[in-house]
Formats: sequence, C-alpha cells, structure tokens
Amino acid sequence: MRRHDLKLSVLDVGIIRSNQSASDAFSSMISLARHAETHGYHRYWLGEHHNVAAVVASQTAVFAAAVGAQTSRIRIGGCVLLPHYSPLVIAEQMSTLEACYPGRVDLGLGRSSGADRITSKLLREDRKEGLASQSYAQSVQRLLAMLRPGGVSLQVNSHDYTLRATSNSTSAPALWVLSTSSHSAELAAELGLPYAFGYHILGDGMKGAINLYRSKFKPSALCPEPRVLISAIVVLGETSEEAELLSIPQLLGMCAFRSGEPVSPQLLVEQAVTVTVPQRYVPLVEMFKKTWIIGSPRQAADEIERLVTLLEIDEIMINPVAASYTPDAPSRATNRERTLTLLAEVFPPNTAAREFETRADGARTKLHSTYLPIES
Amino acid sequence: MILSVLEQSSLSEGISATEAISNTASLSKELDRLGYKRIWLSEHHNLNILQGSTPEVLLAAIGAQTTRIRLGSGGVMLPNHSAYHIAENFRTLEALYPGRVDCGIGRASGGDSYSRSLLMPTPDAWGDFPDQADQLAGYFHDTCKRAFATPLIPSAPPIWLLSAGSNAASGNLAAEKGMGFAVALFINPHASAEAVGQYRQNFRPSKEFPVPRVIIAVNAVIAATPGKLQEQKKISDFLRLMRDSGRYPSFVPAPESIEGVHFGAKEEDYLASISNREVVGLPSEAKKQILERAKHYDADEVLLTMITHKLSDKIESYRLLAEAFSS
Repeated sequence: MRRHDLKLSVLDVGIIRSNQSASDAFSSMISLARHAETHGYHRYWLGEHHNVAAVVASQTAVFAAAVGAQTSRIRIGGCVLLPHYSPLVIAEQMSTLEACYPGRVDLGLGRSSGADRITSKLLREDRKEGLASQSYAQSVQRLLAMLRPGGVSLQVNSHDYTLRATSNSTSAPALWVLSTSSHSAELAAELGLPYAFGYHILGDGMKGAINLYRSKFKPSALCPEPRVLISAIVVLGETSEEAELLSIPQLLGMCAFRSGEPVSPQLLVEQAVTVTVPQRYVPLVEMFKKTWIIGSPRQAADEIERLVTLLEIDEIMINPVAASYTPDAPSRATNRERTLTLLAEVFPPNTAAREFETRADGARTKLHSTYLPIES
Repeated sequence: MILSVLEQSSLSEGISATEAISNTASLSKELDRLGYKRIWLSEHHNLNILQGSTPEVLLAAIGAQTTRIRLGSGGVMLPNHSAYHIAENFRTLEALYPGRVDCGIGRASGGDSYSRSLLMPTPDAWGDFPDQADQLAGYFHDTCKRAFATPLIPSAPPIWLLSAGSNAASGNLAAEKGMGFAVALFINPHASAEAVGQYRQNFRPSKEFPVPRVIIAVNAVIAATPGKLQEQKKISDFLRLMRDSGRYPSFVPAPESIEGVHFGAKEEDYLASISNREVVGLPSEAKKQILERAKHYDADEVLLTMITHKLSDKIESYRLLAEAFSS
C-alpha cells in the first residue's frame, strides 16, 4: 500500500525539443500544466534560465500569468533568481500575478544565476542598486516587506515614505526559499519561510541542509512550522527499459551543459539513440543517475518513498524530462505527461487532504499582512 | 479610423487592487470582441490610483483570454530596467501569442524618484535611452552575439516609441531607428503636429516598420446621454486638476463623492486650456473629434484612455464608440 498523504507537484524548466518552435514548446508546457491539474498535482512551478538555447522558460512571472489563465486550481509560480532583479520589480510582478489568480501563487526565491557571467551582467546591467553591498538576505527581506498588502513604511532622508508594490490587495503570494546549500537553509529557517531543496540539481548535502533548516527554524505567522519539499528529475516508462531510453536525450543535453559546451534543443529519442556518447560524458552520466529517478512506475515509486521517508517530507516536486518520439505532436510533451499520469496512478491524490492544504495555503498567505519582516 | 485602447488599471473608490487588475482583464475581453486593434497597458510605480505596474505579466494573462486584439505596453519605461530583461519578457509574450505583441517603450519613470531608485535605473535616463533602445532591438533580432534573449523566436515585436511630444528629439529617434511613434496628447495637450511631420519626413524603414506609423493617444469621455456624460466628465476633470496641482488622489472617486465639488473660473479656464488632451461627447460627437484630431496630427490610429468609476461605464462607452464608427 502506497502512501496516500504524499503530495505531488511539478517543476517545469521549459525544455524545447529539436522539432519544436518556442511557441510549440510553450504550448506543450501549458498542456503539461493542465495535465498536472487534471491528475491532482498540487503545484506547477517554472524554472529560470537565461541564454540557454535548450530552455524556453526565462521569465517566470510572465509565463505563469499565461498558465494561470488556462488552469483553474493548481498553484502556479516558481523560481525567481532574485540577485538579477530589483526586489520592487519582483514584488510588482508577483502581486499582479496574485491579483489575477488570488490564493494560487507561489514565489520561489533562488540565488544562483541560471546564466553565464556575461548574461548575468546584461540582466543586471552592472547597476543593480546596491547589488554589491546588498546581501541576498537583505534583498529577500526587502521583497517580503514590499509584498505586504499594506505596503512598507521606509525612512528616506528622515521622512516617512510609504512604498507599495500593490495596494488594497486581498492576498499575497506564498514565499519559498529555493536551495541547494546549508547557507540558504539557514536563511529560510531564520525568516520562517518554507524550504525547497533542489535535488534535481544536487544530491549531496540534502539531508544535512534539511535537518539544519528544521533545527534552526523560527516560526513566523506565514509559516508556523517548518515546511519542506524537494524537486527531483523523474523519467517513467511502462518498463525500466523504456524509461532508460526516454532519459537519454536529456542526459546528453545535461552532459553538454555541465561540460560548458553549447546545449542544443532536446533530441528526439530516435535521434539520440544514434549518438555515440563521448567518453568525457561517462562520469557525468554516472553522477546524474545517482539522483535522477528513471524506471518503471513501481521502481520510481519505491525510490520516491525511500526519499520522502528518509527526509520526513510530504511533498515531492517532479521535474519530468522524458524525451519525445518523432511522431509525437510538437504542441504536446506526451511522454512528460505520461510520467505524471503514471505517478499519479501509483500515488492517487488524496482529494480531501489536498483540498484542505489548498485552503491552508490561502489562509497562510492572508496572514501575510500581520507578518512584518525586518526592514532597515 | 483605427481605434485602440490604453489601460492603466485604475483603482476606484471601494474596490481592491485585485479587482482593479481583473477589471482590466474583463475590459480586454470586451475590446477584443468590439474590434479594437490594440490593448496597451501602462507601467506606474507606487502610485495608488494606477495599479498597472508590470504590463508584461498582465498581458500574458490577457492574451490567454482574448483571440485577436494586439497586446502591448504603453509603455515599458526602459530606463527602469535592463534591456535584456525586457527582451526576455517580450519574447516570452511573442512566443505565447505570435504576431500579436507590441513593445511600446518610454523614457519617463512612471513613479516617484524613490521608487525609481528601487528599480534598476540607468544613471542617465535620457542620455542612455537611445543605447538601450538599440540593445532591445538587438536582442529582438539576435544581433548581440554575447547573449541571446530566450525564448529564441523568429519574429520580433514591433517597437513603438512613446513620447509626450514636447520636443522633436523622440520623433527623430523613432524616425532614425525605424520605430512606430506614439504621441501622448493626454499627457501633453500642447504636443505639436510638427514633431509628427518631422518623424514622417526623417523616417528610415525597418523590418517591422516598412513605413512610418503614428498613433496619437487621447483621453476619452464618452456616454450615451448628456447627464451621464456630465458625470463622467466631472470625474475626469477632477482627477486632472488634482493631478496637475500635485494632489493626485489615491483612487477614482464615485460620482456621489464629488457631488459637493465645484470648479471655479480659474479651474474652468485651466481645463479649457488643456482641452486638446481629450475627446468629449456623445458617441457621434466623440467620433467627429477623434477624426479631426487624427487629421490634425496626421495620425494613422487613435489610442484612447479612459478613467471611470465603474467598469460597466467604461465598457459601455467603448461599445458606443465602436458602434458610432461602424455606422
């Protein structure tokens, strides 16, 4: 008997395939989001990458606004790499998203660049206010303050100044700290925010970081108890052999990415099987396979249960990267959708519990107005 | 005559920001049905009465709920942002809604100096603007080889330069770079028709604009009856007088809230002196004024902006005007 209290969510980094236009890729992502909603998934989060030809998702708030209009219940949002932006811009974007889809918006804050050095500079134009002097923690706190529906009162030249990213709003987005390190774990604990560990990026140190987060957690009105999810790359097939096959194109792409080589759009399965894997990729493939969950539904379910038991978590975010077959419609990601279908069959959604959670998320966001983070 | 609409997501007395934003989405669906060519959204910061701060996000939501209307910014205030960031936003929109996206750029701040400092301001908003505009166009056409703005798409949103028309500089810039040119009479009623003439004369064709295109933007007060028109005009005049005296209210008042307000001779004179900013009248009269104004400025298209207390009034006004133009 599988666990019935496990919540499943989706992380979509926005893969584009060799036979897709960017518009096709977006259509397939929206289709994936709708599929996730139909199958009881809790969240549909986006990733943020820049100047990567294999990825179409660069600006989370903009694309999430389109997803929100074509779904009705699933929580939307995802990764925003805060060091690239003015906290005010992000507060405005996310408040607008929240106004469009009240009670459904998650803002996951990350601190990595999602880009090469030059692109990062272009995004920040070398002039982000106090980027050098303003620490990541300060940016997060500033953003938290700006997201308060009533605005934030600041002292400017010894005058009181009220700043509002949005006024008279009825709710605020739910904040998460995204992390692959103990450093961000401590920040999430200190600010009393939910914590999402990127197991899809890094396996090492996960258990330690989560333990650290829980041990140092300071309750906040926003989040009275520690709350943890992890994201994991998952490729399912009807059989383990099919899953292996479906994982090859993304493995090749990630090997190129980690080797600092140009990354092309994801190959189709039929294209990938003709590729001779370069010797230099072999250790990388071994490394990826330690954390990627590739297999039959039963194998994947066993691994997911092992992880959630080990980490004592109740939510796992699936990053489905299965490649497509040549005849698959360019406007769909049929095999990525199938990963979600198969997993939902193994862990059928506990509808009652999930409904409650959705409401609890809403209540928590409403409490936001009473939560006053430190503002200097 | 081609008609389009500029929306600012104004906050009316008694409603929440959530409603202000959803009103803009509801209006867009009506405009889509009524045949308006574009819905453009503005960027303002820390300004209570105008809740639209991030056109790209709201446009993405509106695009999914409409079928044909063009989606644009009116505008993105480029000096507040990284051109690369704006390019990613607009390429995301263009990939979502191919062939329907306009990128309107302006060089104002859209807010007060402090909120501007919290964005990512260029050191010299005016001086750096032409460079920023070049960078943006470069990212749209993949001519910057150091970095590409994703998603990579074959088409580029047309870039419109927004101007208050107070001097020839913006028109010249738009002409030189082959951009569309939009003049905001509702901001500056004294904008000269000569700036438009110069733009047309100096225009250099670009891929997106083989020929010059001019939009004039005016405030619109339109109603079915003289009584309703009076009521709408009073709100519009009240807001303008307050704005120009530095006392912009934090929301659009209900008609009954300003019943006791009466304008003196000084105020009436002032309003008369800036009447070029708007078209006012019953539908047939408003139509006449729109055509005259477009002719005077040699404009291809008129962009209307309207502030009402009730969404239903705004929808009704735009419906009446569309009817007047189709008859």
